[in-house]
Amino acid sequence: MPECKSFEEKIFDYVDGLLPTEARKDVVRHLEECLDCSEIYEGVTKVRWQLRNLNSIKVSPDFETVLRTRISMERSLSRRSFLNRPIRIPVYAATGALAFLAAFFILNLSERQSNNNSAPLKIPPSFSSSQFSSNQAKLGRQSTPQKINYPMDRLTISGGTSISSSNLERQTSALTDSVTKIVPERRIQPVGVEF
Amino acid sequence: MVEEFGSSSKSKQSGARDKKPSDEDLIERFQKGDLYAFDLIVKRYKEQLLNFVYRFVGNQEEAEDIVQETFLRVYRKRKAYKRIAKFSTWIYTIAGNLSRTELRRRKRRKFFSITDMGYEDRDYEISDEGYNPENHVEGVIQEEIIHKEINNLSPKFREVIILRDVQELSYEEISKIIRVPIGTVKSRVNRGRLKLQSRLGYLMKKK
Repeated sequence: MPECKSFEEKIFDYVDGLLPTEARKDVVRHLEECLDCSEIYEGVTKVRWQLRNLNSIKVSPDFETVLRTRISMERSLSRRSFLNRPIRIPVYAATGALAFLAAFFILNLSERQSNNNSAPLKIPPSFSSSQFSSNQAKLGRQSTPQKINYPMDRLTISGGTSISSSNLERQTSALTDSVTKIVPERRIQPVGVEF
Repeated sequence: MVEEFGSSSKSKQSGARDKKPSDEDLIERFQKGDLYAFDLIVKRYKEQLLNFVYRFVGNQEEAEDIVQETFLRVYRKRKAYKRIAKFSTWIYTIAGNLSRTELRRRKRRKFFSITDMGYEDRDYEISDEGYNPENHVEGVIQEEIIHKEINNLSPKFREVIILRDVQELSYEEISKIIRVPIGTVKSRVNRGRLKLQSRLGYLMKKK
C-alpha cells in the first residue's frame, strides 16, 4: 500500500514512544488495517525487547584494583620525571636562550680581540712630527713590536685618539717604514686604514 | 589510610538522606582534586560502559581493556571536560572512539574473532540461577545468537543499535556521541532493527 511508506517512520517513532497522542491513534488505526505494517511493527518490537533484556555482563572482580594500580603507576612516573610536560617547554627555551647568549658572547669577545688588533690608527692629541720621529726611534730599538698582526691590511698602534685622514696618510706611510725596519723581512702594504 | 572505592550498598543506605551527586558535580569535584569523586564515577559507569563496549567489539577481555583505558583517559584529561555537555556524552564518546580504533586495528590484523567459531568450540558459562536447566541453556544459546547477529551488523548500525536499544540512550545524546545528525541516527537505528528482525525472525517465531 502506498500509504505504508509514509507510515514506516511513524511506526518506528511509535515503537520508541515518541509520537504525540493524535499521531499515535493514526498509527494504531493503520496497523489494524495493514498486515505488512503490523508484521514489521511486531518484529521490530520483539527485537527491541530482546536487546533491552540481554543479560548484562559484569566486570572482573579485580577491575578496580587493576585500574587503581595503573593510575598509581602513572602518578609515580610523572612525579619522578624531572622534565614534566608543563615545565619542559620553558626549560628547553631557557637552555636554548643560554646557548645563544653564550655563543653571542664568545663571538663578541673574539671580534673585540680582532678589532683591538686591527683598530684604526690612534695617535695622542698632542702628537707632533718630532714626537713621531722619537717614537720611530723607540720603535726601531724595540726588538719585538707591540700589537702588530700579520697578515694585515691596516696598521695598528694602540692608545690615543684618531687623526684626520690626510695626516694619517703621511703618518701611516712613515709608520710603515718604521714597521718594516722592525721586521725588515716582511713587507707591509696597507690597503687602507679604516676610521 | 588506603583510599577504597566506595561500595554501592553504602550509597543506597545513605541515599534517602543524601542527595545523590550528579555526574557533572562529581567530575567537577574530581577536577579540583577529589579522588573519591573519581572512584564514584568508576563505580557508576564501569558496568554500562563494559556492556556497551562488549557488544560493540564482541570480546569481553578486550572490552575490559578498553573500559580501563577509557577511565584512564578521563583521569588524565579531566581538565578537558567542560560543563556545556553531559558527562555521559563525554565518557561514551571516549569509549566509542577507543572501540572503533580497536575494530580498525583488528581489521588490519585480520583478527580471528571468537564469534566465528562454531558452538562446539565455545565454553558456555552456565549461571547458577537456573531453575529449568533446559530453558536456561536455550536462553544462553539465544543470547549468543543475538550477540553474534549484532556483531554481524556493520559498525555504524551496530553502534547506534547498542546505544539506543541496549544502553537506552536518547537520540539526542547518541547524535552528540557519534557526531551525526539526529535524523541519521534514527534512520540507522531503524535499518539496524529491520536487519536484526530479518535475521532473528525465526527465533521470535519459536516463542
